[in-house]
Order: sequence, then structure tokens, then C-alpha cells
Amino acid sequence: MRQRFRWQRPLALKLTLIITLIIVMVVTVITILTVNRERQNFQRELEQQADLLLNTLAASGADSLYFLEADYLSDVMRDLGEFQVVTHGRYYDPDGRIIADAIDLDTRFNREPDIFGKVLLSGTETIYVWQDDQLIAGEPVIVGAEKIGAVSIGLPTAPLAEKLTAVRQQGIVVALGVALFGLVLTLLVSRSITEPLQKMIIATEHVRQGDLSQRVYIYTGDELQTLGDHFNDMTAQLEQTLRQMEEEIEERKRAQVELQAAKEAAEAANHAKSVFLASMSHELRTPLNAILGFAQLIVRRNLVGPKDRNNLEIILHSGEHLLTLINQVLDMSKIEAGRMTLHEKPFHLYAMMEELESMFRLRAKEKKVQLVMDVDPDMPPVIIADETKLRQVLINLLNNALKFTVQGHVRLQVQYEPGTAVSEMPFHLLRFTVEDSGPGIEPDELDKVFEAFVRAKAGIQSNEGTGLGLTLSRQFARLMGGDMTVRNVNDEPGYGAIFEFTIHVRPDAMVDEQAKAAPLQIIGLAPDQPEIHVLVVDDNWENRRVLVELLRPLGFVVQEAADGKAAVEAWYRWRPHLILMDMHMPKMDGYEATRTILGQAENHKPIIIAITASAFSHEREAILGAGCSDFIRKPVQTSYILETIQKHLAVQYLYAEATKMDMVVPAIVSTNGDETDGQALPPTLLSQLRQATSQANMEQIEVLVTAVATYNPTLADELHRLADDFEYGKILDRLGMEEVIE
Amino acid sequence: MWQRILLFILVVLVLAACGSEATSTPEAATAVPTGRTLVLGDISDEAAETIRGTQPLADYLAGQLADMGYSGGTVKIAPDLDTMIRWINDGEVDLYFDSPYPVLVISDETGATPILRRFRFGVPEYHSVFFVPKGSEIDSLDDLMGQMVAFEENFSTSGYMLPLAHLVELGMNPVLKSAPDSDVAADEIGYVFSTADDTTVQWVVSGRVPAGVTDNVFFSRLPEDTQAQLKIIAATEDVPRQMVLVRAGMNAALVAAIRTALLEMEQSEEGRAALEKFQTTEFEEFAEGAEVELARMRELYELVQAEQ
Repeated sequence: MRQRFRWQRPLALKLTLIITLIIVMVVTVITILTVNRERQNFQRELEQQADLLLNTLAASGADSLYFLEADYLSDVMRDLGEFQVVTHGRYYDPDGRIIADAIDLDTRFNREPDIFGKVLLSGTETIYVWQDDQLIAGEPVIVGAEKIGAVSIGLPTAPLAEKLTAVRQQGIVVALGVALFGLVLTLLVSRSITEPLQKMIIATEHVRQGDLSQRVYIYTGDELQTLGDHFNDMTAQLEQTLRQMEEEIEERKRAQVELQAAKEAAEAANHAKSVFLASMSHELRTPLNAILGFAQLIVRRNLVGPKDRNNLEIILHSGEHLLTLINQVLDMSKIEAGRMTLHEKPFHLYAMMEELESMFRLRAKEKKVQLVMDVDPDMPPVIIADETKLRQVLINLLNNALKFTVQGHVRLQVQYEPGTAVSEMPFHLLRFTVEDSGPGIEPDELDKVFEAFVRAKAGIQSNEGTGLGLTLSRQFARLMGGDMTVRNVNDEPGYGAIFEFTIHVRPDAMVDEQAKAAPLQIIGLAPDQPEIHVLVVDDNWENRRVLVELLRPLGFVVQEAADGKAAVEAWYRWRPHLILMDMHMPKMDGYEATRTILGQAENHKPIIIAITASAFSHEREAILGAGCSDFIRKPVQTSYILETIQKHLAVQYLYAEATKMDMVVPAIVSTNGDETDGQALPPTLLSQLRQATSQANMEQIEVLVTAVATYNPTLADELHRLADDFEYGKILDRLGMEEVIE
Repeated sequence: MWQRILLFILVVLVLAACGSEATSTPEAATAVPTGRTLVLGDISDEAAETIRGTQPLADYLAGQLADMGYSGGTVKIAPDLDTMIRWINDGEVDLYFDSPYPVLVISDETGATPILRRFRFGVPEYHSVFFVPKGSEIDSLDDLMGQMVAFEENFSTSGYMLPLAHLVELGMNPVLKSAPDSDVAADEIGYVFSTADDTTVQWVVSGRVPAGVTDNVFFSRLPEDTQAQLKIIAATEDVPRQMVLVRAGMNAALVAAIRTALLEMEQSEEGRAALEKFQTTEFEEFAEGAEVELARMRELYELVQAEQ
């Protein structure tokens, strides 16, 4: 922004110059007016003189004009000219010809009329023509009714110029005198103003530097003295205010220190609470593990009579309730502590919906309540969101809906609203609506259902729930970018309740395309193919087991080697078609082993595929230079390994019948028990998992479920959840191991 | 008359306080002679100017005639010819200078005698010219028949005697009229007096009369533009420009002393200065005697006198 021009000069100088300038201007204006007035007066006087002279010449020359006595008229004009009475003088005949001229005799006796003479004779009034140096005036000479001629004269204006020059010079002298006088006067006046101001400036500067004891003493008896008094009052008040502020600041500092201490104490207490809750969670969950696990096993094995079985089921029910309560309290404490975070990953919403339907179908059937799952057909198959929290919210809402609905229906509707950009990220909106035909919620309770440990009247009557479910659900919905609301059907109790929440999800185009184009599930080698021998070489036992457990169930004949040397020996002995070679091993690494094997093989060189964790291109070149046909980066992907094997050995696979669901969760395709979950798991892993579950060995279960994730992440998630809830019976159901238990 | 008007104007101007300063300084009074005073006379309507031009001559002659008892000279200006005749007859004027016609009139009336010729403005002789506006249908004196012509005044040589005598000698019947617009018969040429050569020219220029007469010297001094607008249709014979006349009764020694003083003026510084002021280059004797040289003048004079 342009700054306005400011004249940075002392005030006294400004005042002096401005007032002096005004004085000079006033005197100048007065001088100009005086000069103009003098000019007007002179002009008026000169015109009067011209009138008088014209009238005289007309009167005295009338007779001669009548007789055209040029001689006499010339004498008159010549004398006027010689005596410098006029600067111009002429007599004209009735036609305007010059008869006599005061200055130039040669203008006479011209037969051509003079223009000015004709002008004079054309009227009856005196005509004045102002020229630079003279006034020309003329008039016709009228005798009776006849114009017998005309006369004109010129009077010099030199006296006017002299007079005006005198007035102008007089004005300049006066202007200079007045300006000088004004200058002195202004200096005196401005000093009387600026000196007190200077005192004020000095005092203000001291105040600015923090010296509030400054006072100014001005005794001019005017506004400046008032200003000084106000300044003193202001500084005194400011001094007092600052003193008070300092005291208040000191007080606030003390309070702040105390507040900080209190805050730290509160944080310590909160931390202690969190530690306590975590500890208590663990301490409570450990005995619950034993209580629930063995209770389930006892019930499943029918080791007790009907009465004790009923008691055991009460124990189970109470334990499960206690576990839910513990988990929810733990979640609440995490949310309050701000430590609840989202774990977003791609997952199939359709699969989740299928799972939920299967989860609640039986219960709905028992209550003769229609369970309707209505999913938007435009819903993308794969989305990115926190699957666990979304599932928890939906389970909670569906559970509540089924709990309070004795007849009618429970409907879960999912709407997909694409392109709802709420930020730079391309978020899409999922709107979930859970509607039931239960008793609904009293209007005065609608605002309270989301409060912690507050249950609606129906909830209290049912004597179920912890009072934290809806609170957590709304917190989770908000955590996922949305919110949750509740209303009654028809906006009044008695017709059912509608819980609606939204979350933001991100479509995963890559995952989506992968899902759409995903190959069918490979379930084994096609029949009528020669036996395929595969040698897995890795110094890490777990890595070897992963590959062995992947390939062997599909029909490959697999052997293992723990280093390069063992691999060379195995090749000599067994002659495998394909070797999966880890490149970094003790004794003999993959490079040397590859070169040895390929160097010694003649006609039947095996396909050697390197497995490496390196992502550097130079190692890729080294691998291919050693003779490897291909390479696979760790962590290995099942589909990529099988595709690579097919690429080099031209094997044929068998594929499962696939639906959209099948492509994602092939192990839980069926909910009617026709196929057993976990079929795709290695038998050893399956056996170990069954064993750990039967023994309620929580730590072992967690380790093995993590291994399950390598083969079936969805199944692993479900098993994790069941393990967290100590649903060991359900785990065994999912693994289909009744006969093992026996 | 005009002096009174000018004085009036100047008084008005002074009263009007226009700041202009009148510089009318009175003519220095001529020293009162202790002895006889030589009086030079002239007829003029510009008395002051004439006196300023003539006084040095009067002083010079008085100085030259100191031995004759003259202690000073003075100038007397008469407004008309009759006054001058009376002054000369009364002995109030000793010397008179004028052109031939008034000289002859005064000589006849007073017995005064022409003694020398005067070359006024260096011109020894002059004549009259008849002029009309250029473009006029009048191309000759014959064309003037039935027309009006302006003469100067009735004692003027070139403005009266010469043109009138010329017309009479040509038998063109000049008739004096009272005004420029008076009727003129077809068998006559009307003439009217303008009183001045300037007025004569102005009347012709302004169309008040179709023709005018002035002397050739005056005409030649008109502005060139004016001359270009006029044309001369006739001219008279030459006559002497001016002559010096001494009153009757002056003793011969004094006349001789005056003649000598005038003829020798150009030989002294003082004389030349006085001559210059008097607008005269020299005085000259009548080569063949005054009477012989004035004979033709007298013929013309008598012709004019016969017309009156």
C-alpha cells in the first residue's frame, strides 16, 4: 500500500512556513486586487478624459468639419500631437476619410475612407478601443440631424503602467514587510506551542522506555496545560495499572505453576489409570481365559450333568458379559486418552455383510424376526477403512436391534455416496442405517442414548448391555470421519428405532481392480500331469515351512534344504524340476549353489528361482548373472509364486468355483458346514492350532493365528477376534475339529 | 481663432488632471529697444509660428542697421491684407514679404516698393496647377466648363491671381460662386475660395468640388498616395515666388542698407541662421529691374482686378 506523503519537519517550522505563506498569499491577493482596482479606476478616468477631449474637439471643430476646412483641422491636430496631448488624433469627413492627423500628416488627403472613421460614422455613441499603450476613442460629430464627420483621439496608458508598477512594487514591499513581521510573530507563537510539546515528547520517550514516573509541568493556561495535566494523570494511572498487572501476572504465574502441577498430577493419574486399566484388563482377562476356556471345553465334552451344565452356561454367560464390559471400558479409556487410532486397510465389505448376516441369522430366526441386509449395488467390492471398528459398530447396532425387536424386522441398509470430497483426499461416504420394528426410544431419551453408562428404559428392562456400546459406536463412527444419529420410526416411540451413521472410506482402485481381475482360487494341480519336484532352499525354518505348506497341499512334491551345500547334494540325489533358492545363506550361499548346480547339470538343468529380500537392481543383475531364471522378492506372495512356477514349468492348476465372496474368503465360503474352514491351511498348522485351542493356550493361539494370516488373512482376523473373546468353542467350530477333540 | 481653442483645450486638460503637462512657455519678450525699431510685417493665421520664424531676421537686420539708429527689430502679423495695407500706410511696418499678387495690391494701395526677390524654400519661381481626382472625366480646362473649381483665397498669387488670369486669358468665363455647391452655368467655370490649399485638396478628395488649384510646390509636397489619386489637367506660367517690399517714404540710404544687409546675409553665420529660420535660401536683385520683371505680373494683376 502506498504510504501517504508526510512532511517530516519540526512543527514550529511547519507552522512558521504555513502562516508566512498564508500572509504572503493574502498580501499578494490584496495587491492583485488593488492593481486591478487601480486599473479600472484609471481606465474609467481615462475614458472620461477622452470623452471630454472628444466633446471639446467635436464642438470646436464642428464648423470646420462642416466646411471641410482641412487646414484648420490639421493645425488643431498637429498642435495636439506636437504637445503630446494625444498619441492619436484624427478628424474624418462625412464619408470617413481622414482630414487631419495629429501624428502623421501623410495619412491625409486619401480618397479611401478610413475603416475606424467609417465605424465611428456608422453609430452615434462614443467608441473605446483599448490597446497595449493607448486608449483610442472616437465619436461622430453630429450637427442637427446630420453627421458632418467624426473625430478620434488616442490617450497614452503609460501613466497607468507607471501607476500599476508603483502599486505592484508597493505590494511587494508590504508583502515582504508583513511576511517578515509574520515570520517573527509565528516563531514566537510556535515556540510557545512547541516548547510544551517538546516537553511532552521527552516525557513520552521516557515513558516509552519504561519510566512511568515522568511528569511534565506546563503553565500556559491553555489546552497545552490541560494536555500536560492529562498526560500526568495518564502516566500515574498507567503506573498504577502496570503495578496491578505485575501483581496479577505474579499471581497468575503462581496459579499456572499450581495448574501445571495439577495437570501433571492429573496426567500421572490418567496414566496410572491407563496402566491400571491395561493391567487390570490383562489381569482380568487371564483368569477369564481359564474360566471361559475350560467352561466351554467342559460343556463341549459333556463332562457334567444337566444341572451343572446349566450352571456352567451361567458361568459362561456371566464371563462373556464381564469380558465385553472389560473390552468396552478399555476402548473407552483409549478414546479418552486419545490413543485410539484407525487401522485402515483394504477389505471386502460384501464379505463383512455376509459374515454379519450369518452371525445374526440364527438368532433372528429364533425370534422370528426378519433380518434384511440391503447393500447398495454400486458399492465397490473393496474399500479402505478400519474393518474391525466398523464390524464392532455394526455388531453392536444389530445386536441391539435384535435384542429389542420381538416381531417384525431388522434392516441393515448400506448406501454408497461416491465422490463426497470433504478434503483433498477423495473420500467416499458410506451411510449405514439400522432400522428395527421394536419399541423405539422415548423422546427424552434420544439425546442420552449415546452417553456412557446411560441405558434407555428398554435396555434397563432387558437387563442386558453395559451402557457403553452406543457410546463406543458413535465414537468409532466419528473416529472414522462420520457421525451417528438416532431417531424413531415415524418420529415417535412404538414403531421402532433408526440408528444411522456414516463413515468416510477411500476406494482402493488398485485393490478394486485386483479384486475384479483376481484369478480364481488355485486348489491344486490339474490331474494327468507328471509329478513336479520342488526343492525349497532356505536357512530359515519358518520361511521354508511357508513355502512347503503352500506347495505341498496343491500336489507338488517338495523337499527342503537348509543351505547351499545341502541344496547341491539334494539336487544330485533327487534331481528336482524347480529350485526356490534363498540367495543369502551360511556355508554356501545361493549364488554359489546356483552356479554349482547349473555347472554340473548337463541335459536336465533345473529352473532356479531366486528368493531375495533385496530390492536393488544390481543384485537382480547378479542373480540373473548367476544363472537364475527368475527371482521373487520377500515377503513372498502366494499368487505370485504360483504364477512364476506356472510361467517356467507350464504346469496346469485346478481352480475353485468362484463368486465375488469366494475370491476373498475362500475358507469360509459356506455357512452350512458342507466345507470345513481352514482347508487351505497346512495340516501341521491346523493341528497345532487345534491343539492350542483345546488347551486354551492363549499365547500359542496368538502365535499360530498370526501364521494363519499368511494363508488366509480374513480367517486369521476372525480367529483373532474369537480368541480375544475366548470363544474357543467357536474357534474349534471354524476349524472343524470335532473328531480331533474326541 | 484656433489658438484660443487650443488654449481652451489645454486648460480643460489641465483641469481634468490627466497628468499631462502643458508646456506652453510664453515667447520670450523681445528686448525693449532703446533706439528705433525695424518692423517686419506678414499676413498669417499662424502668428506665433510666423513670429518665431521671422524674429531672427528682424534682429539680424536691426543689428545690421544699428548705425542707422536701429536698436532692435520686431515682427507684426496682420490677419488680412487690408490690415497690413493700413499698417504700412501708417508706417507701422517697414518691410513686408509676400508673393507677387499681394505685393502688387499693397504696392498699389500704399506706394510700397519691391526691392528684392526672395527664394522661399529655395524656390525662385512657381506656378499654379489645376487638378482633379484620378478617374475623373475632366481631362482638360475645357472639361471644366460648367464645373466648380476651388481657389485658395482672393489675395493669393497661385491660388487666385494666376489661375483666374489664366482662365480669363483663355476666355473661359470664370465666375465667383458663394459656395462649393452653388450652381454653375454651362458657359462658365465657377470658382469658390477654400481659404487654404489644404482645404482645396480636401474638397477635391472629399468630392465637394470636382477640381482645385494650388501652386506646384504645395502640390509636389502632398503625400505620394494623394498625388497618385489626383491628376493635373493644366498649369499656369511661372512667376517669382516672393518679393521684399519696403514702405513708402523710407529714405534711400536705409533702403540701400536693408538691401545690402539682406543680400549679404548668407555671408555670415548669424545671417545664415536667420535665413534658415525664415525658410529662405537667399535674396536676389531683380536682374532687369523690378518694374521690368513685374510687368507681366501687373498684366495678370490687372486682368484679375478687372474681373472683380
